[in-house]
Amino acid sequence: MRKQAIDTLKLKKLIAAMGKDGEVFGPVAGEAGEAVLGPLTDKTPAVLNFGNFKLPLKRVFFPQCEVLSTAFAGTVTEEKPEHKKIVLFGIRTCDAKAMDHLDRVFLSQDAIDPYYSRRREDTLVISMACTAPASSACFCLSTGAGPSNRAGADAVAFNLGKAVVFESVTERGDAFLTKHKTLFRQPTAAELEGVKRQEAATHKKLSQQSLSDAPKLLKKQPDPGRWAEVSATCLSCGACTYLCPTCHCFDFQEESVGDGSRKLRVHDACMFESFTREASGHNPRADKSKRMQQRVMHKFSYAPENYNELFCVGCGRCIVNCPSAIDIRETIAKVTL
Amino acid sequence: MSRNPYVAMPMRIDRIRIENDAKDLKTFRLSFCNKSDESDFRYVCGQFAMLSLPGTGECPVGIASSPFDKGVLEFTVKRYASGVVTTALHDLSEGDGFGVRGPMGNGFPFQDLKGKNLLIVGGGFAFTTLRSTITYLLDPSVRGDYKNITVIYGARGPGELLYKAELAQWQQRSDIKTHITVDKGSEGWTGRVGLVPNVVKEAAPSAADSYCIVCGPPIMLKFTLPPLLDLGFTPDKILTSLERKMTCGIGKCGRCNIGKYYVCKDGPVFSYDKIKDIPENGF
Repeated sequence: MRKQAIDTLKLKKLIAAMGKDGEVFGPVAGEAGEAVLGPLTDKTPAVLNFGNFKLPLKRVFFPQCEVLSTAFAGTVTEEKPEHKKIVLFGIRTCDAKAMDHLDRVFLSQDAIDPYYSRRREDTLVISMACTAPASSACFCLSTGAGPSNRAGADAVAFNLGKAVVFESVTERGDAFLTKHKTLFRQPTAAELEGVKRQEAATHKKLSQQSLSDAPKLLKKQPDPGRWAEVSATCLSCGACTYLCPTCHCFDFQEESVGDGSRKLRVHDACMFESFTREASGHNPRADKSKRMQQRVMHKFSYAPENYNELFCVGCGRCIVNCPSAIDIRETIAKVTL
Repeated sequence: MSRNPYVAMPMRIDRIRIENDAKDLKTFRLSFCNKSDESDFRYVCGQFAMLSLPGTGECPVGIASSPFDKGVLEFTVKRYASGVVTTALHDLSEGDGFGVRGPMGNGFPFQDLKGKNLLIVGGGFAFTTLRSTITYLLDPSVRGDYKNITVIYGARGPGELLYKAELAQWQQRSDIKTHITVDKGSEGWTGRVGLVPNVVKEAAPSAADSYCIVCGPPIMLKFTLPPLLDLGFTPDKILTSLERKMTCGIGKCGRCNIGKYYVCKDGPVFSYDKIKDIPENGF
């Protein structure tokens, strides 16, 4: 772990220098004024003060739709995307943490996902610590992630206004600091102190309520009636899963192309009735209360059993965007009451 | 570079056998189009594969052949009216091809079963991987590794029994005890009539130094587990195989998640003690 600083005015130069290694993506001003993930260049600087993107970043490695193979005249040809170096700069630490979770799934040694793996290998991740919650729905501290967590990132940046302090997390992050050392300088003692103060101040702005007990409480298997109550207003629209940075369920679809076909991988959601409906018509999760149970249990009970961590980073997207105003924190509280 | 787990290997249909009167169960015997695939495809009874039809889709099916059947794989596929892939597979002819991804899942734990008495209980269409298992166990090279083998197999009616020729052969043998039963007899049926759980009670094989493998529809499992427990089979000695809708087959797509397990990767074979407290186990 090394720390380097850069004057904020020089950030443009750093981004231009990074651009020589690959395409740099980060927060840019969108049409409606909100920050969206877009290419960073001399002309489109990174937006440093923003809440968070509406869409999670999983689509960078695990797109909403991608071609896995094509078939023509009985021969199946594997789709091999080209290597394309990418830098993700200034993304939120919760989204980086979510990548760390997805790595456990897609890069697990027993079966490595070649598509995810290729894109992940090609990507340098430089996150930026939060200085304020994006909304009242932010609860990263409750999940153990926290506004300046390092997981999933190669380096994490702290925006101190006039300067940005970078801290490397991985060897790749170290190499990034070394490569651009002419642009960096040693951080001053005041700047290092500033980073600490900022972390402490941001922590205070977040909900302190911990969800670390959730796996233990959920393991006791709440009464099915409770799940029916908390899911009563759920529309099964799947917004929570599509916007969740750690949700990774997918489906394969076949599509005709001329005389052949191609096999696509598309995002899917455990909140949909068809997700577990079998060819026989049998469906172990025909009822939406069971689907709600599955989503919550997977994140707060099953995955923690396998990975020893909650599979939720507390980004709050599912809460902000639920058309029925379902709050997963309240859901857990109600079913484990 | 290792094989892309999402790309199927091409196989050719050598033979199609219609298994039942309802004609909705067909056994496909396949051979490998690429010789190298044959040596890569090493499997254990109880494993499954994704059958893949480009332009149509994929579905998970248990392997019905035995690892001793060199150069071929067999899958018995049930056609469902709403099953797009199973219907398309049933429309294929000998000489046609389709893809196979696998083998997937854990299979039966033969290391633990060695030196034990084995009770194998099957119902309906779930008998496919049990047929693989029995064929394997009866091979002269491994039969001596196991003690008594008892098979109880039931179907709705005589016309729904799978692998009839092999059932007849097994009944002739002295190194396996076979109880075949049907829920409801028909004209000409001279065999046993009765539900699987009742046959388990009647046959009452000893649980001493034994393992039980039980595969069947959830309703059969629900009523067969109590008599097995009564006979003294402890939950860790009762093995079953679960079925779920699946996409990837390698523990990523999330579809077959049940408790902390993925049926495709951690199963499909589970000992009953591992899954009995999971509300979604289905029985």
